[in-house]
Amino acid sequence: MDYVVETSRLTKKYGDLIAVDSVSLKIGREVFGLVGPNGAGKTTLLSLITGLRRMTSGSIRIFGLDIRKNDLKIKKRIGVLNEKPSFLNNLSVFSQLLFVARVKGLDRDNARKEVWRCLERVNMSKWANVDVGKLSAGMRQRVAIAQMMIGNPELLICDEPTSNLDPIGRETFFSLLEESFEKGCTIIVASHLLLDLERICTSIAVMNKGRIVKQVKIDELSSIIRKRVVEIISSDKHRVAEILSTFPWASDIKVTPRGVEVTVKDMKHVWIELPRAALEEDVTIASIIPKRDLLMALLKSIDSEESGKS
Amino acid sequence: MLMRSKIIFLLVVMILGFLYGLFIDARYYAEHATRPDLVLEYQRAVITEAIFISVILPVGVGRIMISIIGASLLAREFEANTMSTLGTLPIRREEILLGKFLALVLICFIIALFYGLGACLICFLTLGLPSFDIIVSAISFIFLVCLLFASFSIFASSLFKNSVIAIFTVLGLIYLSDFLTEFLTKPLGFEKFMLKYYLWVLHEYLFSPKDVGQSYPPFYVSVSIPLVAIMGFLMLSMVVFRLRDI
Repeated sequence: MDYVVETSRLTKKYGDLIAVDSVSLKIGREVFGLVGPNGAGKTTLLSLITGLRRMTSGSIRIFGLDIRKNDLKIKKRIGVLNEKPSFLNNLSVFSQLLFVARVKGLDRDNARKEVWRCLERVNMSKWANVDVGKLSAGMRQRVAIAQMMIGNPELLICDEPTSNLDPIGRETFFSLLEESFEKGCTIIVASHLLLDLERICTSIAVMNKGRIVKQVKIDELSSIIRKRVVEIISSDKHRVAEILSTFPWASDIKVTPRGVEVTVKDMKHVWIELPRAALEEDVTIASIIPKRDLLMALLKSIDSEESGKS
Repeated sequence: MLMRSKIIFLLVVMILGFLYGLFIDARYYAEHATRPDLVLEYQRAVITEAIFISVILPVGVGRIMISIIGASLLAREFEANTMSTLGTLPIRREEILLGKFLALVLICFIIALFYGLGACLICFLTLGLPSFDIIVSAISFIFLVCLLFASFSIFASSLFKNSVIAIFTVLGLIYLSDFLTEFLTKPLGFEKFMLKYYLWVLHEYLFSPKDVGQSYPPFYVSVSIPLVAIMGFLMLSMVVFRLRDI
């Protein structure tokens, strides 16, 4: 299989500090999420892939091309959203994006059309003639997203993409990513916002201390993280709590204003045994909501594994 | 607004520096041309001398100006984080650096033109019309010296991400080299290893050719060595900038 991004024993050292430690990744056509605590090496890894930083050892191949020999060819085909987007403040939004479009090899007419298309996608077309320096942080983030989309890149690399965005901007960004993915684009996203990653990613890698400690497909996540918190919505919440207390797989049962919150060892018990018992006891269950904290649970389990080792 | 005030400030500094350098010595020479038979020769000598003096000071001011501008060029991109945007675009790093250097070349040329033509204009108004080759020499010499400091400062700029460190490194090295030339290499006879020596010889060739002795290196050497140094600093900064992290 041809991978879009392939790193082999990729290492980046700053003196004695190893920021990225022998990372070997294979990313195909997918939405790839990168999570990890602060200082895990996510941004350094992304900046190695985008060519901003030079690797100490190892190799990176993007679209099958070695980044050291073909960096210009590769950069024409990728769109990057940096952690702290920056612009030439005395240029207007339009001029800034036009410059990027021209650098990416579009001719004058096509570059103008492309800039308008990207600005419209992030709802920034009415701000086209305003200097970038006068925009708010959220608007600058939108301009940075538009800049990333210029030239229909085949690979998008986003570092903390939704920071500073309002809920509408966030929705727009996700729909843009989904649309790009549908069109065949590969997307790499690093974020602290676990819910965002759970929502858009097809696979996830967890980084810690410069290493990839776990890499999973999103649909495998629930089988890895069996122990989860579930909220059971019911008007008869006290009876539901009583039923749950009879099961050995249920623990930490808490009655909440809406229902009952419980930690379960395996989700299949909740889906199969609880409704059966409720039916026998004639208790109505309105809904069973797994708390969307798969990634948090994964991070915690990795953290406890790591501390157990040390 | 900010740009305009910076330009006005630079112009004021340039004019004050020029006036300070020019008049004192030029008037002195003009007043001491007492022998009538030598008046014409003196007249010529005074004009050359006036240009000579008016070139020395602009070179001093110009090299500081260009060093500050050059040293902060790349570092300011790092500080504003715009370098990380440029770094992800399909542009060679060498092109980014060359673009910056070309801007510096233009600034050097403006400085040289301003001081060179300014010196000639004031000479024309006070002493008489300077010859064409003196005008060209004045402009070329200031341009070459500024270019040398521009290439050195852009090298320093490629090393440091902080503009203050880059500026102080360049200024520190300029004054260190002045100090070494004056108190160490000159007394010990090692001055031929200093770039400054070749600039000084070139200056002699251009403005006081009669004073150039047999022991001086030939003209083409005194021109080539600064040019080689400019190319060297530029190549070195390209290598550093290519290999470094953004």
